[in-house]
Amino acid sequence: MPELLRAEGLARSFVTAHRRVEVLRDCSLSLAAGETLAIQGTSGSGKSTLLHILGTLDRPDAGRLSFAGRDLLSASARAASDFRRRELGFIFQFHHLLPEFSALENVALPALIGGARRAAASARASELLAQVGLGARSEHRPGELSGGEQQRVAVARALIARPRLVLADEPTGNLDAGTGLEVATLLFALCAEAGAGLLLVTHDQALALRAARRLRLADGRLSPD
Amino acid sequence: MSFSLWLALQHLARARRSGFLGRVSILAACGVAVGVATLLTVFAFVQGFQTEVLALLTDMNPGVFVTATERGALDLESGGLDWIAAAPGVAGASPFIQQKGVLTSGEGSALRLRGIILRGVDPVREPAVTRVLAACDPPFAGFAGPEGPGVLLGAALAEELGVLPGETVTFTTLLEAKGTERRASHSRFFVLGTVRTGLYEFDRRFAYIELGAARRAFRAGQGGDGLGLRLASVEAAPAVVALLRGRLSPTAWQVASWQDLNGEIFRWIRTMRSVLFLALSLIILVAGFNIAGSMTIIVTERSREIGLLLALGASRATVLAVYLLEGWLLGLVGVLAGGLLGAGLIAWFSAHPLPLPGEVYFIDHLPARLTPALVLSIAGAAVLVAFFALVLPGLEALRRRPLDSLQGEGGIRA
Repeated sequence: MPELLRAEGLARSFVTAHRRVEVLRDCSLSLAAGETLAIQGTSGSGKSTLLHILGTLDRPDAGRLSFAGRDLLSASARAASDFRRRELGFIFQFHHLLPEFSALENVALPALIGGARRAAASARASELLAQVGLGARSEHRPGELSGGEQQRVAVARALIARPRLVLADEPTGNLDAGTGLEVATLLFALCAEAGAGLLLVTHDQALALRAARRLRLADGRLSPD
Repeated sequence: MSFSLWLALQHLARARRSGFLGRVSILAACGVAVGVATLLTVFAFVQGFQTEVLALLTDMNPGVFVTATERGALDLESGGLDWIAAAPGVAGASPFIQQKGVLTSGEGSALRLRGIILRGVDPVREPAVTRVLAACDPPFAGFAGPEGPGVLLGAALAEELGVLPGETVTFTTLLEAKGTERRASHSRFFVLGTVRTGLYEFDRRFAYIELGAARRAFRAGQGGDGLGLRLASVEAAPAVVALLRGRLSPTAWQVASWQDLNGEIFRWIRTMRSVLFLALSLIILVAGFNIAGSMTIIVTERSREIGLLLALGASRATVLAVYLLEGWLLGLVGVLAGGLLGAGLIAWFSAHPLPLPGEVYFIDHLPARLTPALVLSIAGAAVLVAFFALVLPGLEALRRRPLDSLQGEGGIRA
């Protein structure tokens, strides 16, 4: 499979209370199109920071990052926005759904940002909600859905723009074991069906084992698990 | 419809559902509404006052006076000045004779006197120039008194002199006959009734007699002192004055318009208007700050949403547009609500005019008048202020970074 994402020598440090904390040091990874990769690490190990750099939400202090052969770190803010909108789907530990909007509108949001017509975005959102088993709950607002249902809405939202890569940050971290298992199964199945690559960071061994490949982040360095 | 406009409209449409933010939005719009309603109402009063004073000044007094420098020099028989009545911008002409003097009533300890202007008018031609004879109480039925010439007194003048119809008053003035010294002249008139023009100064200072009686009393021969003209429109005054000054001898005739004679009143109104505008503009500014404050709260409270939009690929320009449009629409809602509230208040005050002390304000009630230009300028100013008020919250929205905004619940951590 062709290479989709490539990171080389990524480094990132933060200054807190007069102390420099080196969160990432010389991190390199690559991901092929449609591949699944899990990055494991304990809380505070820097895996979320790595995910944000890979998703262009944050910038590394050093290193290189490319997507389908295109350099991402030299891109303008506008080009980075376009990249996120067209190529990425994000799933956060806390679903981050807009509370005043229905499940359908939340799922349609990335498509609407991308300039899709409302009718077309709604039709695609309905389709995805049906796929995640929430076809009957599309008009419900997040407050009227359970934690698992909210995360399923977030999964549908991550896939609406037909991204080539889904980045998931502890997607089941806030759910009980049973619900987490359902959401994880759904996430892997839908990504496979859509042909999207999946890069997830988690401290959950069982979730990480579902990925085709695993890396471990410890002391700011990535190593094969 | 763009995504930004759609999201801004959705935020406003769901304001009621969104609890605290909804209340903040509604309060901000209310602030603008109250400001706009106040400005509209106050300026409707100022506009109404100006329009009413102007209407009365040109309805109860000629719009232009053409006055001979010599007493009785207007020759009505020759028809030499007939062209004036037919001049462009002139809707009617009537001769007059005018004399300043003192009007007295009563005798001994009951004697009362007031300095007035006594104007002799032609009862046939005067209605083509002013509505003075139509404003009489009892209704005008000629100037003939029971035992001599009659006089119509301004209503306030009659009150001050304490005279009733049927009683007599004496007009005393100093007249200059050719080649002689000035001598006092006394004329006795029967009070026929009163004239209530609505302009307090007129009603206190003017009395009206028949043109013929004025000729006899003030030795004006067969002529008149001049012509009073009614204008086709009040704005025609400068053009009519320029035309007449161009054709009449400046040594023999003086031409003066309502603007020349009442310049101070209108200068006063203009000054009052400017001061009020400056003072009341602060209301709109306060409403603008209110919107700015509210939008800053909204942007802060919605920082997670901003972060999410950025993470989902919205550009900063799109996010900025969402909050600028939301604030601007909020201002627009406030302007519309304020417009309706103001129009309601003005309609009420039009039906129930506020009373005014006429001796201070020329007229005895305060009319409210709304013009499209006034509504548009106030609404435009409010919308503009609302727009500029959004610069700060807009910059605040632009400063948000997706990470900072999404870190709250631990959704994104190191």
